[in-house]
This record gives sequence, C-alpha cells and structure tokens, in this order.
Amino acid sequence: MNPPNTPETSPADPAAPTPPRKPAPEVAARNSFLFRLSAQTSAGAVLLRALERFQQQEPQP
Amino acid sequence: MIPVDLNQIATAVRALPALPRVVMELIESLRDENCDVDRIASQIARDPGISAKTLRLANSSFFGLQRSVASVDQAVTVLGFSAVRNIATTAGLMRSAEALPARALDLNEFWRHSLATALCARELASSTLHNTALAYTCGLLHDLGKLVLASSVPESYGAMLQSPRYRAEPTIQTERSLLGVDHAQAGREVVSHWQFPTDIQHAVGLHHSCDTPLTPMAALVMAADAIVQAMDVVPTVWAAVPILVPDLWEQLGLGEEQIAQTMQRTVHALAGAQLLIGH
Repeated sequence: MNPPNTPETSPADPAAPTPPRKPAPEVAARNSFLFRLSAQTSAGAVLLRALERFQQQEPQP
Repeated sequence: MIPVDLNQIATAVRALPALPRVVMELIESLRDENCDVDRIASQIARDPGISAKTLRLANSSFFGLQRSVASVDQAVTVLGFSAVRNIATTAGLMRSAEALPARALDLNEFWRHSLATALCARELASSTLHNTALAYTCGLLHDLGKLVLASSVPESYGAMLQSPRYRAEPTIQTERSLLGVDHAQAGREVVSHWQFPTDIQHAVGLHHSCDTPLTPMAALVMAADAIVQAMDVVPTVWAAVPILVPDLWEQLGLGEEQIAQTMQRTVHALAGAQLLIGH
C-alpha cells in the first residue's frame, strides 16, 4: 500500500486545500527585525501572536 | 540634510487646489446617517473619472454579479450606498492627491498600503462598533503627509529615504530626527486645509502618537497600519512595524483571535479592491 500523501509529497491538485500561510524566508527574517521593534510594547507582542495565529489559519475561500 | 520647517509645509499645503465638490460631499456624508443618497449618487455619476472607476469595480469578478451594472444608481442598488461611497471616495481622493507630485515615492506601493490600511480599519471598526465608512477614509488618508513631504521638500525627503537610519527604525522616528517634521503633522495640515471633519484630522495627526491620548479613529488607524505592515500585505524593502501604544488592543477591546480574523478579512477585501489602484 502506498503511504498517505503528506503536504510535501501531494501531487498538485487544484481542489486540495491550500496549505497554511508561511512567510517567505526573507519576510520571516525581516519580521524578526520588525518585531524587535514592535515587541517593545505589550501591544506589539499581542500583534506578533495574532500574526502567528493568522499564519496558521487556512485562507478563506 | 536641511531640516524642514512646518511653516514651509503649511505654505505648500495652502497652495493645493480645492477639492472637487463631489469629494467634499462624500466626506461630509461620512458622519451623516441621513445624507441624501440620490443626490450624492447623481454627483458621482456626473464625474466621469470617479463614475468609471466605480462601475469598473462594481463589474469586477470580485462582486460576481449576474448582470453588469451600467449606472451609479444601479451600483448603489446592487452593492449598497456604503460600498459605492467607499469606491468613489477612494477614486476621488486618489485623483486629488495627484496635486502632490511625490516622485521619491513609489505611488503604487503607497496607495496599496493606504488601501490595505483603509480596508483593515473598516474591518476593525466593524468589530468594535465604530463608523466603518469614517474608519475606511481615515485609513486611506493616514499617510497622506508622506506625499506632502515628498512633494514639497523633495530633496530632503529623498535624502531621508536613502539614509541608513530609515532602514533601521520606524519611519516616523527618522522623519522627526532628520527632517524635524513628520508625515503625521504634514498630513494633518492637508486634511485641515481641506476642512475635513476633526475625526479625520485627529486620526491622521495622531496615528503614530504615543504621548497623546488617541481618539477612537486614531487608535483604529494605528492598529490597522501596524496590522498591515506586520502582515507584509504590501511588501516593501523596509517597512518597520510602527511603535504601538502599550494598551492599544485594550482601548479597542480586541484580542489575538479577533486580530487574526481581521487579518483574514483584510486579505480577502484587498483582493477585491485591487482594481482601485492604477488607472
């Protein structure tokens, strides 16, 4: 029996759900710089955690 | 770099042409629940540029209408006055801002960020039971001062954009340090000159303020600006997330989950509004 497809090995299927958003490496690197700034306040830390949640969510149809 | 005097900016702002009547009416209607929808729709219809953009967006695949919309009146009927007003206000203000030739800035990038902030502010206003149309317009105008600075003191502003400091700290800090004037002050000069409501003047002038109590609209714009920058909706080389007042989310009554949902809705709304950018 073939092993089940994982997100990494699944063939391209337009009907398949879109994987959760992950920032590009250069964006992630910059975010860490940006959040050194924004995390200076508690509000920045909340924004950072919200962004992490958003990046884990499935995009809306 | 030559420091900039706010009086210099004020003088440049006073030389700006008056806004078209239709744009003024659209802005005035933001706080008037009993505004005359038919009259405003007919004014939009009489402005070829604004009405063309309105119909183009109304007929875009985003709205997925079964039949094409052929008139502003019909767009109001099908999409609702609020949606049509947002579209027309955006088109009218973008055209009016052409009086500010900010060559040092990427205008496509500028307006994409402004539009994303407007849409995000609208979503935040909806979640927090504030005036959504007003929040949208405040978001759209929040960075107008950058156009003012870049057009009225182009050499100083261009030099600031090339400065290493610009890449290492929030823009507002670099402006204050190197120019002595920031885009929030400059933007407030413009919206005050145009006699926009004080809600808008405060939102534009205070959206980076950490030492003055924020008005509700200023808090919404500060939050929307930071959300949009953090999401990287409009990728720019250096777009530092601005410093936020510590109790911003408490002021707005929003938690992480609601902010994450706002991010989702903003991405969706921006996808449909892209046609507003460009000609």
